[in-house]
Amino acid sequence: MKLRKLEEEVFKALMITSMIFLIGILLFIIATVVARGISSLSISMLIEPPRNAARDGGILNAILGSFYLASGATLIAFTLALPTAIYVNEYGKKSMFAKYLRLSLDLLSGVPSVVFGFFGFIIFVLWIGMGISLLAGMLTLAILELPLMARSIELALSMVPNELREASYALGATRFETIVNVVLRQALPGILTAVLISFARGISEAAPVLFTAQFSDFIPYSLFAPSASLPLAVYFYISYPYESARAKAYAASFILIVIVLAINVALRVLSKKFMKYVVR
Amino acid sequence: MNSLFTFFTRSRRYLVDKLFEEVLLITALISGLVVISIVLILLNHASTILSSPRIQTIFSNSWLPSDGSYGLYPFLAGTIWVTCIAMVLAVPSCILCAIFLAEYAPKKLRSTIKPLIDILASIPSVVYGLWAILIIVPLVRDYIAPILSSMLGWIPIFSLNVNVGYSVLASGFVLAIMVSPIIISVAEEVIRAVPMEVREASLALGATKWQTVKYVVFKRAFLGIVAAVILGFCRAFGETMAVLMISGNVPRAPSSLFDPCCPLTALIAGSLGEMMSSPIYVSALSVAALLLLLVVLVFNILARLIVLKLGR
Repeated sequence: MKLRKLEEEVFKALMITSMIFLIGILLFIIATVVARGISSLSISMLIEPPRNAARDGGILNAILGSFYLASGATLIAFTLALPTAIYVNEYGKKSMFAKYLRLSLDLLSGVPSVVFGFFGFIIFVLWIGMGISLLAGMLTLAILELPLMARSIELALSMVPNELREASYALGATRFETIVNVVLRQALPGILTAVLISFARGISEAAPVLFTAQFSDFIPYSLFAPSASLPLAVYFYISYPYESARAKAYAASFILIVIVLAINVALRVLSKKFMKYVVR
Repeated sequence: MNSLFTFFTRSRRYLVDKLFEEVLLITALISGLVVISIVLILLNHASTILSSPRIQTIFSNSWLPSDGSYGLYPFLAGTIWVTCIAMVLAVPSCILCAIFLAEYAPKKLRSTIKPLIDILASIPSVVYGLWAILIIVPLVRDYIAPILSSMLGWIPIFSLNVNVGYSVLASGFVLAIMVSPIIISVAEEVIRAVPMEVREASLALGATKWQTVKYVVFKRAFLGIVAAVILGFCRAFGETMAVLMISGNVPRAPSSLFDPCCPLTALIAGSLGEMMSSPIYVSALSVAALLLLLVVLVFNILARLIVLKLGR
């Protein structure tokens, strides 16, 4: 009798310890990045590109590059993901093709990010001949974002109650009209969430842009110029032997963490706010 | 006139509807072809080296591109070491965390912890890498490696060959943290899906809560937890940037926890400069990428099959 109580207590203690350990690590990571980041953050860090082999200047090239890359990639991914999701949820439903699409998207989301990078390098940089460029980076990131976005949008669409579609059909609307005027409007908060999640994923991935957009000390001026990005700024600057360059890595990781946390919070707030307007 | 008008407008609406469907179908087809095209293109590039006499060197132990020998074994060994350590460290504690969240934690506590785990999942991997370089690598080099090797040095895997901190252990530890969110969230979901009646039956027979969890809930959820672990494994297997930053990038098969190594992902990511130089080099990297891809795809399908089986 005593023994089984003891066993329960031991395991409960173990559970709580591992939970506290994990949360502790999370806070430790954030605290480290914030402490280092704030001390190396300054106005010139935010508004100047690096100069003098990263000894002076800031990381404006990476900040802008990351925004271009992630926004472009999200836009490209959206133009593919939205129709795919609509097809799977509204037309395909349980057909073999829709099942195959779901499977292939799920498999795609499990592909290691470095494989995307390598694939993008072979296709966009070598075959199509874009060279190392902002555009190649966007396209590669878009492929990486595609499965996540398509599956999240599909989830949002599947939450729209069927009665609404039926009501719209009963009023004589075609499928197209029903989808555009009723389903998409209802699913808008979910779609917005999907876009934000994908943007966050795109801005935090480094391996796909490592081969395709690479890195440059200049602010990207054209779609066909190489571009810096925040994650790669962290990766490259941390290996510099002098502290003034390493400070750029700290600042870049701080900005990244702030963006990711902000998107996380925004998602929570948005979903609460929007839910009021959605018919359940 | 009027009827002609209705015919016209109706047919236009009909046309738009049809056109819309075709556009959707074409886009969906493009999205569906991405995975296959990745596999095919990697296969195509890999075939250069696989059909040449250099094929034997792929399985060898030496990576010397300048001598034309492209042995992938050291990298495969690195990946296996790092992934295994990550799983050994992560799996027990993640299952405990999942049980805690699903069974023991009060609702309020759970709803504060779950967002934190989501945040853990969304931290960029370079940030993990940066943190590891600042904290974990020095910790391993200055404390863990000397202490563990002086105590357990007689066991081969704890022997201290080189002490740089950039090691299998550091990479494995960071990977363990990175895979925790996915294992915990999937496992928790599976455990919570076990029907309440099963628990009640066990409790009514006089079992304690822990006995119920151990003998009834865990047994019911076992396959799902296996799927969670497989998904975590895939994540660890394919993780790139953190591993690239802390594994040490030494192309030699590690023999101890404190040895540096170079997993497959780090090999691919690290050889950007050389990639332009020769097609055979790109081909060897394609073999590496293909290896990564196939392992991850197979395990993903396995996890999905398990989930499907559970659904029935």
